[in-house]
Amino acid sequence: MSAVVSSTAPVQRAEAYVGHQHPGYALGRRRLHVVGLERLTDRVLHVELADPSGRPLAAFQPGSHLVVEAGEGRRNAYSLTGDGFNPATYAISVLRLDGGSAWLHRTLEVGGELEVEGPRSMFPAAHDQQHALLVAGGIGVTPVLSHARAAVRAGRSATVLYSYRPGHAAHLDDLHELAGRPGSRVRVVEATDVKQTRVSLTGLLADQPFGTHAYACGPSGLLEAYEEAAELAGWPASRVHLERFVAPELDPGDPFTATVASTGRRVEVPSGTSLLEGLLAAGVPVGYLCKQGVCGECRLPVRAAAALDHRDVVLTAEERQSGAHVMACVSRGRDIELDL
Amino acid sequence: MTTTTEAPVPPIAPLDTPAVRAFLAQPLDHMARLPWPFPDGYEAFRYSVNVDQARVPRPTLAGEWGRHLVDLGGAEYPTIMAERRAVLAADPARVKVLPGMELACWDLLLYYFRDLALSYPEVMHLDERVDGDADRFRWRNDLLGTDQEFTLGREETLPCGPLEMLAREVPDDLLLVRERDGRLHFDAGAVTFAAAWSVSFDVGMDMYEIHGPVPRMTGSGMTARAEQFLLRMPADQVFRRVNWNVAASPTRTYDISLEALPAWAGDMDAALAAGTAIPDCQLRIELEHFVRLPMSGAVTFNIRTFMASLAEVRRFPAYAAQLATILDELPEDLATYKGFAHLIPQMVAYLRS
Amino acid sequence: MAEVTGAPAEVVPPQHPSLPAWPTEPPSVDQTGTSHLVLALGGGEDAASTARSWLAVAAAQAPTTLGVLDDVDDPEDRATLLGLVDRARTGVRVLVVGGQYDVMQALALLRARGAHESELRAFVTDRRELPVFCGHCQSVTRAVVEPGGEADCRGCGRVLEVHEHAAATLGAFLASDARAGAS
Repeated sequence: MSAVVSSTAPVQRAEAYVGHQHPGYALGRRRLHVVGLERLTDRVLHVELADPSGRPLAAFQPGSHLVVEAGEGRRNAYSLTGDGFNPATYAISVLRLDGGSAWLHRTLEVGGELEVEGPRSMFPAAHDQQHALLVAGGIGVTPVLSHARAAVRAGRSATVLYSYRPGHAAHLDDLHELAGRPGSRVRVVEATDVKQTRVSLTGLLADQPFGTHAYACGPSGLLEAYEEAAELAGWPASRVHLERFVAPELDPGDPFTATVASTGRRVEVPSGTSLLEGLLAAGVPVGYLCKQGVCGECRLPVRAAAALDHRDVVLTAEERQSGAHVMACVSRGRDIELDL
Repeated sequence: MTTTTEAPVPPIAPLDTPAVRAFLAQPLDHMARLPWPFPDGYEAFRYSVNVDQARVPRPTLAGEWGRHLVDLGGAEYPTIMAERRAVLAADPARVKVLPGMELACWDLLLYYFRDLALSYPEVMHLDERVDGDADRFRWRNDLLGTDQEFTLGREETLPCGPLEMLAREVPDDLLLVRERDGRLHFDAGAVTFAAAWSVSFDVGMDMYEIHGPVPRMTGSGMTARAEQFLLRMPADQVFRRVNWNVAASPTRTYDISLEALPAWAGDMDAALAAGTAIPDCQLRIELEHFVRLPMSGAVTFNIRTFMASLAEVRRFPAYAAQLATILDELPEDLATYKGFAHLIPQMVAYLRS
Repeated sequence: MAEVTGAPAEVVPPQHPSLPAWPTEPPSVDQTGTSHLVLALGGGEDAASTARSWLAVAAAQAPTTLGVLDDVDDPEDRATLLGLVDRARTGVRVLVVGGQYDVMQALALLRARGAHESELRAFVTDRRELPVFCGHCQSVTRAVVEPGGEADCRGCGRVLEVHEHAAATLGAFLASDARAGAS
């Protein structure tokens, strides 16, 4: 008896494939209007954006970020400060450093436009949290504010530790406002130097209710202290979440060449294009389904390769080592000769 | 764990409009909408993570499926929804929402209402920003006579929870999964048409627990791959998957859940005794849709059940032959799990006759 | 998918039923915890002795609380257990010992309070009694039965067949009408 034989031809899809029908789920690159600008400190500019035609914006999970055009081809990621619930506007707070942030400080004006992409969620709240411990260092307060606002909306409790340099406490008033609302279950703890921050971290991590999740965003020194203190306090890694300032972009990979062994045809695969897309564009038929490295449909036999970068979840460790196959939709490599 | 409280069943009262009349006058043809689950040339079934992009129409020998996220079922829609509402009214435990999943239920409701209004604009409508309030909506479903205004996130503005509200409007069983403690968990669901499983028992399970009874799933790595897919599924795309079975009851009853087992368990033996079982055996197709919801990050694992009898399948000789081949080849462990191992020789003979 | 033709026999992957996997020996105390909660359930001597040896190790390492509960179904005992969980701080490790019924139900309660798997360790002293979840009326029955056997539902009175399928969240085995379909 034969095992599974999959002899289907590649499925032809409509070119105009639409993920979501409603504009309220649009995440791709688009231009929004700047509807508000507020200087929170001498170096932090708060920016509010809305859809130019008044259409709803995609909702987001707390802790999400927005990718924004930041001049001269630069694209920066900024945490959204709202709770993400059916948002009328997107709000970010931009700390002026150099490059993109300085461009934003210099260029943005109310009534102007800004190209954005997202929101993207890489720092979400755990839905099983019995309580949240939110740790912010400096401008890392932005996703923390988002989490605190979401907790308030859900009627959940949160303890916020905000570590800042005096005079540079963006959004401290917003946190106090949340804590001061009637019935609020949000508490704010402040620290204004490194020693105070460490003492507070240790004290707070030792005394949180069972079932708490902790979230931190801030400079690397704070995050290291946070991770260290959490481990010492016996917190399992599954409860300890953090976000570094810069969210990693999806690695587009280096360009490479693939060769079809039977015909000798060479296909150049540029950076940001998948092997699958490269082959299909060159008219080489390849079956595929998920394009996520999961379904296994686009497995291709490899005759030889200078290097293979497996990014799928289909191949086993042994299969990867053998280098006999590659999942064309996500994996890359160098000088790949395909046994086609 | 919360269970929604029992609410009066809203009656199904289609509006008398030309669009509604036209919709309900569509011919009843179970094969025409059936997502035929086997690709051409496919002769041996094994479980696979056969996910595909959704909202792409797929022609079959009998018609077409997959154009929309929700297939209302044509003229059969009010019948299916009447069965759904009766089950919900009789057994409120079919709706289960674990703590922390409340927002995900609103996320789901809004996504589906918006999608339905765009897919079926002549008979379904969603007004947004009612009275200038961005959180206020008005949902009208002319096919069932629903007219409901609500405020997003405010349960007291609906006659029941948002998950049950949606379950009363669409034929799909609604399941929401989210990552918790490193694994994907099924933490909320409104399920009336489960194939011999129980939402009350399964809610809160991770993917490995859910698939424990399925032969080969976890051992072949399929569960891990399915979990990885759902964990990493991009937010800007919608996916689907087709699964199949031969229903344990040779009737068009959708509710063959474990809860209702005493009601349907005798159907097959009775039909076998009467000699009518085999042509009436139902090829039961589950069309699953996966959407990552933006506000909660929950992913849908919604299941729309379609049925066609073997007699209906036999009208299409190529499909009858393919199904016979697949049934004939099906290894015993898979056939036993699917529950129809003892009927295979008769079904194959019938399909080939 | 690789095309395989004329392959000899198909390798059938193993089945992984969803069943609690109890260790054969009491698990060790997790030394990364900064406090411990030891729960001895059911009043048996085996449970008490395991709890005592855990207690000795745990208390030497970090603050440790012992909870002794005769009956997890008793409202007072249940309130005691919830009180202990409410006073516990994140960083705690919970060690549960007792009969299978009590352990599964106590673990379910801890999970409902947000416990993660890495915070829980359990030892079952005997498997005589199972928590049996009725698929028809949703009640859980304490029954002397093994998977595959039959038990009477305390909720609806049906004779139930207990399946080889357990749910951690419910802390129970699935069961359904053993007489369904019989004419």
